[in-house]
Amino acid sequence: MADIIFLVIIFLLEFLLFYFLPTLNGQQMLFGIVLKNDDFQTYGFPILQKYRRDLIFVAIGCVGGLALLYFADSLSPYSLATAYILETALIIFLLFKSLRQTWQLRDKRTVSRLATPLKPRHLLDFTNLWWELTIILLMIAPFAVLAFYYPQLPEIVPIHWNAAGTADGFAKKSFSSVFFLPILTTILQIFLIIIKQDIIQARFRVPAEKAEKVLSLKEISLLANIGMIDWCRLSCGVLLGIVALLVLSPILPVAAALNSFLWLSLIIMLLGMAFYLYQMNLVNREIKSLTGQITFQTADEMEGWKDGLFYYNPNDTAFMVEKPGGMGYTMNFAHKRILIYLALFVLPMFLTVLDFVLMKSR
Amino acid sequence: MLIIIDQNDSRPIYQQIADEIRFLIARGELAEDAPLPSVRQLAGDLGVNLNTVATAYRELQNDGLLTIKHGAGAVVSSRTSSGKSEDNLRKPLRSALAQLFLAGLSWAEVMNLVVDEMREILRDER
Repeated sequence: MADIIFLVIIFLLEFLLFYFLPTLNGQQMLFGIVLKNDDFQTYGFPILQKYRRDLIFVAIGCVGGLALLYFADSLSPYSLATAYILETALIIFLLFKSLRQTWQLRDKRTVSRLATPLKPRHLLDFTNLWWELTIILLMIAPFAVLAFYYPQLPEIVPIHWNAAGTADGFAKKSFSSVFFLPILTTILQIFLIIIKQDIIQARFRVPAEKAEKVLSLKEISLLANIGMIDWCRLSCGVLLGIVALLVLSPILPVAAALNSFLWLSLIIMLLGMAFYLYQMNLVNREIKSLTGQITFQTADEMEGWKDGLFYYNPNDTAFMVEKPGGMGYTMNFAHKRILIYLALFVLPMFLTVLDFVLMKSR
Repeated sequence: MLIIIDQNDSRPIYQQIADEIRFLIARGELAEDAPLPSVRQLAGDLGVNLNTVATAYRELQNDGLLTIKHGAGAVVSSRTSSGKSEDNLRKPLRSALAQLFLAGLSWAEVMNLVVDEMREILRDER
């Protein structure tokens, strides 16, 4: 029963998030895309209404299906998971569809007089020593603790846990089954620091009109983005560090304590991210009231956007560019640097498969 | 301390970048030893080719205003450009003044413009 209530709450939260997502950026904006005043009333509003109506259908359909299963007494964890995945897939489809329609209505004004500060932006200028030391400590500590307890671990160790913190997957004790998570965390941390470096080097530029004022606002936005990635690095370190230690639960009575701490740190992580997003949102509203736009593209750059989602522009030297709504960045998929991202994305999957194959062969 | 580039300007982009940096150095906003952004950063910010920015930096280096160290990036090395004879300095001034007169401005108007621009450059050093 507790499982079902938990899932219903997640369902509801997801529904609410996606219901209000298109208009979170404020007036005359849909799905993070700036529309012209009249277009919002005549074309934008119907898209929003249709999106919300379809969203309600999806929610009712999924919850209704689950309720039917519940009363037929055949509700299993698998049907819950299927419903959840199905709902998410449908919502993402709806989102893409509406985003695509909205993108056709975007404010197509471009800039040709550009201003940028003549100031180098280095990773070190945005680095706090104590913060970095904490992250490194969080990265190394699980290795040390696990290595210390490794001889005492039983031959069969837990490798997977459910939401309540009870182990539901087991494997033979081996280097990979014990140290898999710390290794994954290390890869993730490397990935995140590369993202941070790229965000610092992301295109930082405004139109020449009102340049000083808009630049100072964009600077706050950049700092919020960097703050968010730093926050993610620290909280991912804490979260995954805790999960890595769960493998010790057969020999140490840590599972219950770690599990509650895990949920607490997950909530704190999400709250921190919400704070930074809120900050970006405030800044964006101010930029919009000053200039009527949030991000500024030259005519060349405008060509690179595909449906307002992907940016593919071989003529652009920049790798990271602001998303059209000004909340976060996206990559120029035509840039060579994308290969690093691809490699770091594929590496964990490769390791997982390798681990699996090795385990089978033993 | 920002530079402004206009895509519709008749001057090529690299020229605009070099001129803007020269202006900032002349005005004292970029002091000696002030570091400049890397070629990659500035090119990405302005959405121009890497070569465009590199050409601008090289031109300033030839003027003796910048030193470009490998790995360390470009640094303002001096606030006086070297190796330009008076004749060479006079030529661009003459063509700029000729353009102003051809545009139909009177003696007094041209004088005002020149004084205005000089004030803009030397505003901290008067």
